[in-house]
Amino acid sequence: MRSGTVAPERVDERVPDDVVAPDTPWIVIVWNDPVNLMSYVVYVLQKLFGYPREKATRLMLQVHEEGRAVVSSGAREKAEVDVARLHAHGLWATLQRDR
Amino acid sequence: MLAEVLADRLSHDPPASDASFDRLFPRAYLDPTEEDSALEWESSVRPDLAREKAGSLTLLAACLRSASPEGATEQPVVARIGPDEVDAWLMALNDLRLDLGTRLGVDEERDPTTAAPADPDADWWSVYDFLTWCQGMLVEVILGDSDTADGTGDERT
Repeated sequence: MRSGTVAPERVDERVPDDVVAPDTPWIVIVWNDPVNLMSYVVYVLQKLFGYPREKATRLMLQVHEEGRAVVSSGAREKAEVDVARLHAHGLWATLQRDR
Repeated sequence: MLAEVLADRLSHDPPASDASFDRLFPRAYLDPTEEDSALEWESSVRPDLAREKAGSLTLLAACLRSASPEGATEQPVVARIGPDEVDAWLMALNDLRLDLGTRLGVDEERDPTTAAPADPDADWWSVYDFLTWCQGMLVEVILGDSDTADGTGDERT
């Protein structure tokens, strides 16, 4: 594609590690623990996020087998609400930037 | 009643160091650069969560008390759980299991069928296993119901 201006030879697009764009999505992670029942985790994921049974089961198994799974993502405020609801239901959840 | 004891504990200031409390209210942020957010969470969100959990535990205790009249300890307890109470029951049972399981040091390898009778915590393990059974049955009924509902997974009867 042609443009009307001449591009500089080299544009440094690297972003320093300590600068993160404010619109970087946040992810909510559920961690494995030895108490929560597998069926209960499926129930909570269905109820809180409206996931179909298959998706909730797949995420639960990922938590169980890999130790963690990303269960939702989005703006920071939404991620905080999700984590609060997960904590209310006794699931071990954290939020972090999706880098 | 166990549920009332935990509800009462949650209604007071958190102890300085307590594994059960840490499990009931885990850190929301693991990233050490989010320490301010973590502190903000503890001061603004945690108290609401504590009130909600205490409320569920109190409701569970009230249901069980009304289902088992004083002096009728030998009678089987039949508690009827309304659709609006199911979530509170599940959350309360789960929090009791988190509290007890953390104190007992439960791990994934534990096999309840081979529990040693000489274990000084044997009675508490029995309580834990009973709570696990109760919660498992309740979830099974709810998930079974939502299978036959219209697919939203939110309908319970």
